[in-house]
Amino acid sequence: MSLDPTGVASVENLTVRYGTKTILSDFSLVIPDGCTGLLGPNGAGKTTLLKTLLGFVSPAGGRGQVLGLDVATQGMLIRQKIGLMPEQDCHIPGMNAVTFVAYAGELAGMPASQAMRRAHEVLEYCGLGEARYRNVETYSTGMKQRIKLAQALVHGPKLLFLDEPTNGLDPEGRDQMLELIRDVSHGKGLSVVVSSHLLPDIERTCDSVLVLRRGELILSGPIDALRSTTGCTVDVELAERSAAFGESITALGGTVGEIKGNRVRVAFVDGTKGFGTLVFRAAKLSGAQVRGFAPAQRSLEDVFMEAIDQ
Amino acid sequence: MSQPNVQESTVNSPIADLTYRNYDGPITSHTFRWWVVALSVLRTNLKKPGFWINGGLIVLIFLFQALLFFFSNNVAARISGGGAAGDAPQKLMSYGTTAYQAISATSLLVTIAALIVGSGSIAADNRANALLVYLSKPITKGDYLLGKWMGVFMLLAGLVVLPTILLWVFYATTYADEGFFKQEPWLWAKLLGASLISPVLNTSLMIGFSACTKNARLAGSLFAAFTFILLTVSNTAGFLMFRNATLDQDLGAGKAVVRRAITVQHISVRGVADGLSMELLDVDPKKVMAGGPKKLRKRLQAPYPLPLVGIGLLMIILPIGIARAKIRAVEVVSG
Repeated sequence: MSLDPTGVASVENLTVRYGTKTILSDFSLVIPDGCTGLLGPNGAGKTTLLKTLLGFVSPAGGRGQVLGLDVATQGMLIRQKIGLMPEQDCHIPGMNAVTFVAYAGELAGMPASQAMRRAHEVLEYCGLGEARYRNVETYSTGMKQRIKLAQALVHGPKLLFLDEPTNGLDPEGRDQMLELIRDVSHGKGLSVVVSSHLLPDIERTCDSVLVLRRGELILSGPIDALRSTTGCTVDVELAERSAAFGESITALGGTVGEIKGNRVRVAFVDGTKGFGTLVFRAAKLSGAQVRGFAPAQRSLEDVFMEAIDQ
Repeated sequence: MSQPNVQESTVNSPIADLTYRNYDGPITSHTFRWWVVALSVLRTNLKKPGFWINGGLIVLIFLFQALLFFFSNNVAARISGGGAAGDAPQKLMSYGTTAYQAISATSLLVTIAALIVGSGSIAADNRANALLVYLSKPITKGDYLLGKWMGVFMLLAGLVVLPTILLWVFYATTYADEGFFKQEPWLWAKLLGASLISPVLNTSLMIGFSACTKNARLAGSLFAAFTFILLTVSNTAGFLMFRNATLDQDLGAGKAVVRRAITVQHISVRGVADGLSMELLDVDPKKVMAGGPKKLRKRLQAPYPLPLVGIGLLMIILPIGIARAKIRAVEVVSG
C-alpha cells in the first residue's frame, strides 16, 4: 500500500518507541495542505510525531513521507524544505537576533549575503525589527518565541512545524503570535502544522485538525465540518431569556439543549420538516420574541472533549 | 489635475516592508555546510581577549627561542673561528631542537587556549538547546561536530603554526648562506607536523568534554583536571620507573628498560605531543630534557614512538566518538 500523496505529510502504521516505552503505536494519518492543528493532551505524542517527521527519531516500524520525501532515507532533503519552531527556548549563545537568524539561514544553505538580507526581512515580519541588534539572551519570552519563528522561516520553507507556539506568552503576545501564524499560513504558499494543547489557539489559526490521544489518532478533519452538528439543531436567539419557550419546544416534540444567556440550542428529531415554523409556534405559545436562529455549531472544545471521552 | 498625496501615504505606511515573501534564491551545496559552523566558532572566539593574550605569549616564546638560537650560533661561530661563506660553523643547537623547545614550551598555553575557545563550544549549545536549531536545518550530526572541531582546531593551530612558520622564515632568511636548505630540505614539513600535534590532541579532548555537559565551566574543569592529573601521574610513575631502570641497567639490564620508563613518562597530552615532536624533529633528548643528576641525564633516550601514536589516536578518536554519541536533537528516555 502506498502512502497518501495528497497531503503535505503522511505516516502509515508508524510505531515509535523511546527505550521500552511506546509513544506512537501503529499510527497512520495524513496532514492536509493549509494550516493544520495537532491537538492532544500532554503526552499524546504530538512532539514525537513532529520529531519523527523531521528525522530526529527513527521509527521502530511503519513509514512516512513529508512533501513527497521519505522520512527514513531523505531526512536532509526534508529539513531543507521545512522549518521547525521548537517548544523549548533555543538560541545560539552569544549572538544578536540578526546574526542568529542569518546564521540559521546559512546553516540551511543560503549564501551569507542572502541570509543576512533575508534575516532582516523575517525579523521585520515577525515584529522584531527594532530589537534585531540586541543579544537574544536578553529577550523576553514573547520575543524569544518570535525569534524562534523567524529562524524557522528564514530559508523559505514549504512546511512549517510550530510546537506549542504560544507557550509562556501573555494575552497580547499570544494574540500577536496567533495573528502571525494565521497570516503566514494563508495565501503565502506555506503549509503550517501547529502542535498545541490549547484549543482556542487551534480554533483561531487552523483550517483542519488532528486529535491525538495516547499515541493514537482519534479524530481528524476540517474544523468547520467537525464543529457542525448532525440532525436539525439550531441556536435560537431570544429577545430575553424565557423558560416558557423551552417548555413549548418540548411540548412540540423538540429538545432543549445548552442555554447561554438568551441563546437556546434546540434540537428536533431527524427528518423534522419545517422546524422554523415549529420555533415560531413555540415562541407564539410562550410569548417569547425570536431575534433569529441559525444552524448550531459546536465549539472545538466540545468536539475535543467528545473525542477524548470516547 | 489633482496629484496623489504622497506625503500623507508615506507617513501612514511603515518604514519597513512587513509582508512575508518566500525565498527562492540560491542554495549552496551541502558538502561544505560544516564550514558555516566552523566559521561561527572562529568569529565568536576571535573576540576573546584571552585567546589573543595566549597568542602573544606564544609569539614571545618563539621570539625568545629564535634570539637564543641566533646568539648561541654567533658565539659558536666566534669560538670555532668559522663563519666564512660555504664553511658552516658547528652550531650549539640544531634547527630542529630550537623549534622543538619552542613548540614544547607552548604546550601549556595551547591547553589554556583550548579551555578558552573550546570549553563552551558544545556545552553552551547544550545549555541553550541550540542543537534543535542546528539539527532542524539540513546539516548532519557529522557536519556539526566537524564544524565545531575544525573551528577550535584552526584557532589552536593558528596559535602555534603561525609562529612556527615565522621561525622557519627566520631560519631560511638568516641561514640560507650557511646551507640551511641543503641541510634541512624537509624541515618545513617536520615543523608543520610537530606544531599540529598538540592542537589536534587538545581540540579533540576539549570537544569531547564539552559535549558531555551543559556547562562550559564544568567542561573546562574536567578537561583541565584530566590533563593535569594524567600529566602528574605519568610523570611520577615514569620517573620512578626510570630510577629503577637505571639501577637495573647498572646491574646489566639493556637500554630498553630505560626507554620503556621514559615512554611511560610521556603518557599524557603534553607527553604525547613532546614525544612525537621529538621523533619528528630528530631531537636528542639529552640536550633538551632538563633536571636530574648528570649521570642520569646521560642515559636519557627518546620514548618509543609507536605506543605514543596509539595513545595519541585514542585521545583523538575516543572523545570524538563520545561527542558524536552525545549530540542529539532529542532526549532519549530509556526504561
